[in-house]
Amino acid sequence: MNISLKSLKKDFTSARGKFTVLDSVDLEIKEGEFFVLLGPSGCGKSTLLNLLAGLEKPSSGEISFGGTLMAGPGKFTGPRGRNVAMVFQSYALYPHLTVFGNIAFPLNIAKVPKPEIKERVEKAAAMLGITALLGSKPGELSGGERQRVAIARAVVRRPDVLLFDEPLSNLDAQLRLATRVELKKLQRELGITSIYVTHDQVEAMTLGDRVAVLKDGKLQQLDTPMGLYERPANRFVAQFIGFPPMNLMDCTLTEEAGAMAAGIGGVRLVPLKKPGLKTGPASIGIRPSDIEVSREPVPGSVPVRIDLAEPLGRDILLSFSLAGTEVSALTGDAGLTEGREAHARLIPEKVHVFI
Amino acid sequence: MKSETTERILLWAGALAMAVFCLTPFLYMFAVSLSARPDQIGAGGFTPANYATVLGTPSLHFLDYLRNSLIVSALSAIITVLIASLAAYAITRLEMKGKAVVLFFVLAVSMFPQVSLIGYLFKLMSDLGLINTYAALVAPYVAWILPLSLWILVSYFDQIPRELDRAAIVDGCSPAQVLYKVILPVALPGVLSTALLSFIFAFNEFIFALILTTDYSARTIPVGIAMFQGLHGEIPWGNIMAASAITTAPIMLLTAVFQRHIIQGLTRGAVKG
Ligand SMILES: Nc1ncnc2c1ncn2[C@@H]1O[C@H](COP(=O)(O)OP(=O)(O)O)[C@@H](O)[C@H]1O
Ligand SMILES: [Mg+2]
Repeated sequence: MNISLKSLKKDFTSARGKFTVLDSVDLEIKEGEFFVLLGPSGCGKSTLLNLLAGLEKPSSGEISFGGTLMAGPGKFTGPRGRNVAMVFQSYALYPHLTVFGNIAFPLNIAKVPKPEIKERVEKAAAMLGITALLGSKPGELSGGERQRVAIARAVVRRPDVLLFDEPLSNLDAQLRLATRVELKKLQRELGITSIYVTHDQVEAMTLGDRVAVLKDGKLQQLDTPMGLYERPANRFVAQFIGFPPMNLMDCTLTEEAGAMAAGIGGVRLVPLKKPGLKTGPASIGIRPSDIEVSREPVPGSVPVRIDLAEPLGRDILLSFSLAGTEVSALTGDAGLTEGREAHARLIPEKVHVFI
Repeated sequence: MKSETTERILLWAGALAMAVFCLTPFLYMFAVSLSARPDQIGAGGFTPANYATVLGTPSLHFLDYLRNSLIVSALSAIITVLIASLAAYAITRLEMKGKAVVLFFVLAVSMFPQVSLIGYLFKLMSDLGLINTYAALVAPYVAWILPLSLWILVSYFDQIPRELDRAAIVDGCSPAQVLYKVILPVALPGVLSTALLSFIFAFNEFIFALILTTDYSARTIPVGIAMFQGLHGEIPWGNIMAASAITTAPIMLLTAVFQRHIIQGLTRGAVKG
C-alpha cells in the first residue's frame, strides 16, 4: 500500500504552551518499500508513526493510504479502519497472555475463526523461529525472544502497513545486528510496506530502501542510503550520516583567475570545481576517509601536526588541527603517530559545500 | 558473625511478638467458643456445643445474618470494583480536563466522618422505603469504599505502560476492549485486592448496618452478634465467640484463594524487564 503525507503538522499543547512537533511533512512512501525515518531522539519520529497508525490526529495536513484519505480536513479513520500493525520499542506484549495468546490477540479481536487463528499463529511463529515458545508467558522470555513475538504479532494480521518504532534499541549489540538482517529478509519476503523509525544511522543505512532524515519535526532530506551519504543536503545530514562523522569547516570561498577555492584565514585548503558557487563565507564538509595524510608534502597539501592517533582496526583515526579547525582523517599508515608532522590533502572531488 | 546472630534473634523476636499480639485475641476467641463454661476456660472440658447452638437455633438467626453479610459484602465489592475500574481507566487513560481535581475531591469526600452521615442516611432510606433492605446497605457501602478503591486502582493502572494500550488499540481493540481485555487482566492483582478490601470493609461495617436494618431480613453479622442476648439479658459469651469464629472463615478463605493473584507481580514481562 502506498502512503502519502501532505503538509502534515502536529502541535501539542502542554503546560509550557503550544509547540510544534511535526512541521509540514510531505512524504510519498511506495508500495512494498522499506522506508526508514531517521532522526535524533525527540525529533518527532514516534509522533509521526502514531499519526500513521491513527493513534493521534494531525493538527493539519493529510494522510492517505493507497489513495484513500485516512486523516485530513473533516475526516479521520481510527486504527481499526487502517489495517496497520505496529512493533513497539518496549515490545508491549500482553503479560497475562501466553506467546500464542499474544500473537493470536489481533486475530481474536477481528473474530477470525479459531482453526484459522491456530494455523496463522503457527505459521507466523515458525517464520520467526519461536514455535517452541508458544506456551510461555512473555515474562519468561529474553529480550530477543520478546521482540520476535512482537514482530510475529504484527505480521500475523497480514497488515497493509507495518510500523516499527525503534524495535531493536533494547537489544544488545550482537543480537541487534542479527535481528536487523532477519528483519530485512522478512520484509522482503512479505513485501509489506514498512516504515521503520530509528535514531541509529547504521540501522537506517542498512535497512532502508529510502531514508527520510528528520530534525526538530522538519524533513531534512529524503534519499536512498547512498544518496544521503554521497549528497547530503545540509550540514545536519552531513554530520548525522556516516561514521566517523564528516568534518565541517567554516571557511571563505575565493576566486583566483576564474577558479574557485576554499580557504581559512588566508590558508588555501582546496580548489572547488562545483559550478554556481559565489565568493564569501561558507562551510565545507569532507569525510575523514577523503582526507589524504602523507609524510611528505604533495601538491595541494597543508602541513599539520597529529594530535591523536586512534587505531580502529584496519584504519587509524587521526585528529589534527587544519588551519585552526579540528578535523579527523582515516589513514592506513601506522607510522603516522601522535606528535608527528605530516601533510593533509583534501580530495577536491569529495568536498561538499554548504552555504 | 556476631551481628548476624543478633539480627536474627531480633527478627524472630519481633515476628513472634507481632504474631502473639495479633493472634492472642483469636486464640482466646476459639478457646472460649469451645469451652463448656465461657467464664472459666477449660473448666468443665471442651465441647462444640456453642457452635451447635449458634448454627442450630433458628431464633438466633445467625445463618440469616451470615447470608445477609455475604450477599451485601459481595454486591458492594463487585459494584465498587466495577465503578472504580471505569473511573480509574478514565482518569489514567482518557484525555480529560481536571483529573487531579477529581482525585483530590474524591479523597476529600472520603474524609467525612461516618457518623456525620448517619442521620441523613436514615432519613433518606426511610423516605425511599429502603430501610431493612440490602439496597439500604449496599448503596452507602459502595459510596463509602469507592474513594479508596479508586485511589488503589488508579495507582495500579498508572503502572501499566501506555504502550500496552496503544498496542491493543492498533491490534483493533475498542476503548472498552482495551479495558476488559488488557488493563483489567493485567491489573488483576490490584483488582482482586481492591475487591477483597471492599468485601472486608462491608463485612465488618457496623454503624450503617445498625441504623439502617431492623431485623434478620437484612441485618448483617456484626450487628447480629452484638444483639445476641440470653433469655434473661445475660451476655452469651460462648455463642458470641462461636459466631465470631465462624464469621472469620469466609474472609480467611477468600484471602487464601486470592493471595496467589494478589502477590503476583503486576506487569511482569509487559515491557523490557
Ligand atoms: N502526547 C504528547 N503531549 C505533549 N508532548 C508530546 C506528546 N507526545 C510527544 N510529545 C513531544 O513531542 C516531541 C517528539 O516526541 P517523539 O515523537 O516521541 O520523538 P522521538 O520518537 O523522535 O524521540 C517530544 O518533545 C515530546 O516531548
Ligand atoms: Mg520515539
